[in-house]
Amino acid sequence: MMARHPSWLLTLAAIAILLFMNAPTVVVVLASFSATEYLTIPPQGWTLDWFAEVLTDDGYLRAISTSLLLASCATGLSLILGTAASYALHHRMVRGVDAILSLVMAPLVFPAVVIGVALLQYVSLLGLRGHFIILVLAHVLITLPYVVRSALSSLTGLNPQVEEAARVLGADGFTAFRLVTLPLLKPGLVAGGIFSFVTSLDNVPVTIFLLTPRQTTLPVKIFASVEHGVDPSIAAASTLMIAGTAIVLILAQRWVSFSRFF
Amino acid sequence: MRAPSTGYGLLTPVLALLVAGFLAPTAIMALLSLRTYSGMQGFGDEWTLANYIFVIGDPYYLLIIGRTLMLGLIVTAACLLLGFPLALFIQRSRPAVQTAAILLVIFPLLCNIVVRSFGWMVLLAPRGLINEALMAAGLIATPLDLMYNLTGVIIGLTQIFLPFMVLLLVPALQNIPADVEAAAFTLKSSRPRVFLTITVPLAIPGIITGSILVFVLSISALVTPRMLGGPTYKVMATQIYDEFMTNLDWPAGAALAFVLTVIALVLIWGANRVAAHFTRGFSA
Amino acid sequence: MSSLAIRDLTKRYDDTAVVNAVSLDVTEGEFVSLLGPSGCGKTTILRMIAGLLEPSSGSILIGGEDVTRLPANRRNIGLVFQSYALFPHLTVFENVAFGLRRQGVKGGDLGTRVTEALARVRLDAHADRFPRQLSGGQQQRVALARSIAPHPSILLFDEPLSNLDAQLREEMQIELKRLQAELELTSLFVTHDQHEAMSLSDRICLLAGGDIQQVGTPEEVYFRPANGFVAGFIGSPNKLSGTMRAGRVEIAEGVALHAAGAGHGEGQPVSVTLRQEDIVLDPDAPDAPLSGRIALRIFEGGAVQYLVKLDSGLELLARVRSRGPQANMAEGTRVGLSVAPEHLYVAPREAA
Repeated sequence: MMARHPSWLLTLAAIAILLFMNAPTVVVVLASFSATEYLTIPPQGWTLDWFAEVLTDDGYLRAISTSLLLASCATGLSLILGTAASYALHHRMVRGVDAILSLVMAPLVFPAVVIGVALLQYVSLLGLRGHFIILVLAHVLITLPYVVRSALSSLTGLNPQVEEAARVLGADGFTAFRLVTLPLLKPGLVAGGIFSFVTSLDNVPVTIFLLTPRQTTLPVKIFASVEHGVDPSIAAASTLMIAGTAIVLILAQRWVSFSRFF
Repeated sequence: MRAPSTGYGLLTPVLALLVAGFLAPTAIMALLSLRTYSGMQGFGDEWTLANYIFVIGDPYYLLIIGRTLMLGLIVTAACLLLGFPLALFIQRSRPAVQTAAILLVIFPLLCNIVVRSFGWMVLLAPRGLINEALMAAGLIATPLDLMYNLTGVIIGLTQIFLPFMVLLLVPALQNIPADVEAAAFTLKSSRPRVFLTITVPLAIPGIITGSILVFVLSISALVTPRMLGGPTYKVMATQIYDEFMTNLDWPAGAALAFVLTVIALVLIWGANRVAAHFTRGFSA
Repeated sequence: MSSLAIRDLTKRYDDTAVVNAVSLDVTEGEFVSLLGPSGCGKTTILRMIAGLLEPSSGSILIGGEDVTRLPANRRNIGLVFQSYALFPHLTVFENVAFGLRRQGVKGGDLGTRVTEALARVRLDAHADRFPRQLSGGQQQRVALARSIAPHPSILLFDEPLSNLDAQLREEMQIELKRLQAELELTSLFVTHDQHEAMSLSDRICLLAGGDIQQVGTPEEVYFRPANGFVAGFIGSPNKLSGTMRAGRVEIAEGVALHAAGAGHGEGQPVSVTLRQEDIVLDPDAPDAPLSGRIALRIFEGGAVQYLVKLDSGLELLARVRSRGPQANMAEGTRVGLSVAPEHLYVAPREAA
């Protein structure tokens, strides 16, 4: 096969486009360290004051802990329920596998804002608004497609005879799953879990409808704050989120290829 | 030997969640969108299409629906225009460059949409980086209106959904056998001709999938239009948000939500059929 | 070690029976092959015995005990898979220890038994490796050690050698046979390869379309095929069609052969199976009633194969030993052909 190289024009265009794609994040990081209210070029001095402000602010700290708790609970639950469901779906243990799968994937296809308002109405009618568990379940709903997709693709890559070998060797169904299938699914589940965690951590369009005035998550707080204008402490909070994402991405690179999601 | 009861046992929690937490809310919203409503008494007992007639008949709502669809088209076109060259670059680069470029595509994708939209506010605001730079350079005297209008929302949404387009186009291009293009070159076809007659048509399934995805995500977007469009420049999602959170006109909001859902689902369904048709055509 | 018996074992999918009331006995320490073309039901039978597939009807007895309704994990069976099915995340040691741990074997006893099983397949030096660090043949030997370590009552093989290349396959055959004899393992071996079945088995059970065609020693199956299918499947036969004419089988215009015990009526269309190695070629009898010209000579090492074109236009394959007197006939040589009547297998055939 003849190797092809991108022309210099294509390379130049690609660099410009990649710059465009990463500009907002870079700017946010710069702004969070900038000594001035408005970011200038060149920046006039550096400071960590904005971070100090965020990390001592009760509102931000509560939002951060709510976000992390919510994402952890939702991801954990999503992984357990999603793996169990994927196992049953993969082995076609029930009728209507395709219909069930479409239903699981539906929250990915529906506009998020529609799911948000539908849940708002529903939860209000049931009088359950403001319960943390409602937020968790809503997030399980929107993260489940990623876990199931990832688990199913891992299951497909598995040699079905490996689990059979375990059973013939004396392991009951659950033991075979725990000792053989689960360890082999781990990379896929880690990937699905990371994607689920990031999705939950980022979500605004569903979350915002289910919060009470006393509750907030970090992205919703940032979203609400900009109504009052651009403020460097928002940039600092945003930078914390970017750093979190970067760390997750770097850690994840060791285990998984993200290409499986696209 | 697996008993079906085990299967239902494993699926019950997920099915229960989907039925109680997704199907039921959607169905109830569909029903309520067909009820009379007044802000004082809440929902009435009569069935009516008034909410839909109101949403589709009112010039203000029509303007918003039309604006949302136009926004979707522009953002999709922009994503294609920027995504195709980048995908082509990635496909034709060395593996090391490929990995680096893909990481630079995925990183913004994983960054929060609120954070990225905020980044654009820092850049596009009247006293933002771009206006400051242009004024400092003496190119403009007064700040350009880059935000709280169509321009801002387009820039923001394009950047936000571009990664999806690129990540769908790269595999589409990689699926084109290299010898097909090589064969065309040996037949003395010119480079642009090969590109237009071979590369682009073979990438069509990827282009369709990517375009539909970006379009649907764009017309459903809430955060970016709100942050970069401001409270006054409204699209469907932000209008739905206001109906529910500010105006408290839930039936109108629900009707608008269903109009949005129907557009999205019809497009996705149609795109799957078209893509399937193309895939069949090529593999046959 | 225990005996294995299956009684009227049947597996139906919808209304199609893929295994049709099969009964078979394997005595203690015996090695029996289930031989047949793909889709004959042999793997289905094996999976039912292992407990991985539920029979539609019939029963399975191991050591006289009915295990038909017992789950796989309580049957104490060893199963060697075609894909090896080693646990990729566990070391060789842990792979072999898996079944023992399920039986509650612990501590020093565990180590001893794992090492013993690995020594049997001469892999005790590789206990700390992971399966992916081993060659295909080594992986298959680990799979073998894993299945014998828990002292199963019977051992099942599902085409275990078909993923190996030809030379390795022969080595593994010898190793398997040696191990089976040493441990007196009651074994059921599924294969589509007749040579493998012949060289390993005490008895062969030939299957087609879900039905047993013949059960017998390799010699019986080879020399006394029960029907046309067995005759056509074992050995490398020429398959012809003919018609009964005056008590002989006419395979072409004016070419007729004597067949032993051909009790078919005049004019009955028949299929004729004729093994390559049963055709006797004679260059000194070029004018025999059945004669032709050598169109192709293929040297195979141990044997020489000839494609003989009969005067009637029919082509037959014949095989002779490469050190035999007929091994060096040139292409174009005229030869006479003869076949002993008892080597001709004639079965009725539907008229075309």
